[in-house]
Amino acid sequence: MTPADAMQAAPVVDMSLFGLFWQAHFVVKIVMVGLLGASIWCWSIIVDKTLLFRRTEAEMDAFEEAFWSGRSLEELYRSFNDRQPTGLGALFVAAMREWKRSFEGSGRQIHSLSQRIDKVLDVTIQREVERLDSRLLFLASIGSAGPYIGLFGTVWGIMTAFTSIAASKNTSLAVVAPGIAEALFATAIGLFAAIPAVLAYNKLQATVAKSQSRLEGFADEFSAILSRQIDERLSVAA
Amino acid sequence: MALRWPFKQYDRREPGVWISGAAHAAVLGAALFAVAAPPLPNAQEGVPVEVLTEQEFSQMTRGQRDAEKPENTPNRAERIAEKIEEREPENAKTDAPAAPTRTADMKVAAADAMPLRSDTADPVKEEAEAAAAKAAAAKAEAAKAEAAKAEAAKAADAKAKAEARAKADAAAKAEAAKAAAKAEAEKREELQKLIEREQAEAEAAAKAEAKAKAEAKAKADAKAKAEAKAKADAEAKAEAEAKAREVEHQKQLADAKAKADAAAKAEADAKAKAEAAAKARAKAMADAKAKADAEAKARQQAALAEKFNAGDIRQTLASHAASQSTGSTGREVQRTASLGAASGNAQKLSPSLRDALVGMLQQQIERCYSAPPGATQGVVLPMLDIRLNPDGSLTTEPRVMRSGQNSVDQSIAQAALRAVRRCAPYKIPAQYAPYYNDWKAINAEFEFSPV
Repeated sequence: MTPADAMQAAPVVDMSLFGLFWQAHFVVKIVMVGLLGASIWCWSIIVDKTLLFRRTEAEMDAFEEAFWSGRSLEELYRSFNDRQPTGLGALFVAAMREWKRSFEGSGRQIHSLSQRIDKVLDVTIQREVERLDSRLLFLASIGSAGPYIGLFGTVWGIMTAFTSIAASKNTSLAVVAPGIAEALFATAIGLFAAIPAVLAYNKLQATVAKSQSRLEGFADEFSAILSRQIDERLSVAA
Repeated sequence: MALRWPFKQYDRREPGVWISGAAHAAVLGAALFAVAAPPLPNAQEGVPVEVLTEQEFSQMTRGQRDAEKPENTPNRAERIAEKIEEREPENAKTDAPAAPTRTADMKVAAADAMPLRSDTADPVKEEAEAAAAKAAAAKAEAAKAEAAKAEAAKAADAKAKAEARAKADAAAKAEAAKAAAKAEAEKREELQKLIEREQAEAEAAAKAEAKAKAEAKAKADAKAKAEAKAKADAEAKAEAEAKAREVEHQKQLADAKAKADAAAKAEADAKAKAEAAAKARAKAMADAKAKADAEAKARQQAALAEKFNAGDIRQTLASHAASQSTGSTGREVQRTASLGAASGNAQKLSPSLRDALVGMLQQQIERCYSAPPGATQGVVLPMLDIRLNPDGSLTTEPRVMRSGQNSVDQSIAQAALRAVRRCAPYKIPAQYAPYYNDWKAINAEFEFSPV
């Protein structure tokens, strides 16, 4: 086979990104589009979560400042109750609501109030952490599965590439290379989606853990304060 | 994992979807327009290379004895022609036209300019030929005049006016001789002058040529000038010759009247000589001019040849001249492929026989071998290619097929070659005769004692 024949046999290859996508097999196209969508969704989660954590951090700081400013608990409760607080505020409001309920009505259910407050705080912490944690798992999934999905596209693409090589009865690099490049493009997109997802998942997970420990710390502290109050009232009552 | 539909109405607290989508669109757009992979270079097919040993090569080139005998007439026709037509290039009526455009080579350009040069040289040659014809005519006239003169002299003798006339003849002869000598001298002077002028002008032309070489613009002008001058010279020369001839003619007539045989003879001789000289000069001049013309032409052609001339190729392609090739038809069809040598597939020497033969040869060669100085330091044994006739003499000069790179090894190889040449012919036992095809070419390493 002369070089001229080889030139004729070798397909004209558009090596631009769009060309690589457009020449790919249908399955590989689906994989690529799916991975691109996953990448978009990952980044939207990353942006949202980063903003949410920043906001939560700021709210926590503001609440702690207000809490330790020396204002009375009643006053604080009144100011926070009507605006759907999150984070530390939510803990405070939930605990105070339980406290108030215990003193409302005829009987004063003060004996197991401390346990109840602990329960309420635990539940609120869980709810808050879940709110922070939501959708992070998607990042983890993409981070671990993205390369595999891309690899699936690559394998499929290489299979079709080899089929076309066999059809053209020519093993020159000019025939082999474009199909493989096109197939590897799927893996490239998979990695493009997966790498930021993994990094962001680790970072955001660490931030969630930090927030959780802060919530727990406050809950313990507040629970201690409330139980001291309860004990004082019990001794007065007795 | 909460997979909600992200494109609900815009939430100020969760702008992630929009930001991410916009960022991806931006990255993709940038990649599409900025990151364009360079086009792949043209594929080059690799050529497989096989390395042969010397033995394999000689085996391949040995030929085959039982191959079909090739036909004696090398007729390479594939089918029988309906009309037998031999169109050999050497019998063609017209020359094959030259290739349209050649490389800018002086030789090629000169070859192209050949017909042009002959064309330009023609008028000069014609002039020279005309001059020669005139001279011949003049000679014939002189001869006639002489014959007439001789008859007249005879008649005069018969009339017994011999003495008086002889005296007058002598006087006339002396006068005629003087006149002839004078005319000759004048003619020579004129010729000399002409030649000098022509030489000077030829020099001037040469200078003009040199100038033209330096100045590409003035080249054509200078050439034209030189040509015009040369032509004018040639014409002037021809005129001068014609004059001289007229003078001669008159003088001859005078001679004829004077009936001076000897003088006329001498004059004719001298004239012939002068004519020959003039002719030679004219020829030399014409040659010089033609040469100068050819050089100028060649330079022009070389300049033209550097440019690609599509018109020439088109003309060549468009020409409907009959092909010079006889094609693939002939008187009869040849069906036999020509295979190998006529005497192939010889009996082969067994390794032991071969070793014995090489040993015998080595023994014989060693007698003529004188080790070069420093031969003890030789590393690589020379491999010699020796071609033998059946009687043991050398078919061709022996060759060194392989030797070391350093000077000692090479000098050993050369000494071995000398020894091989000196010792030929070799005595080869009769038992080896059937195997001649195997040992007619011997490639062997010879080891000689280094001292």
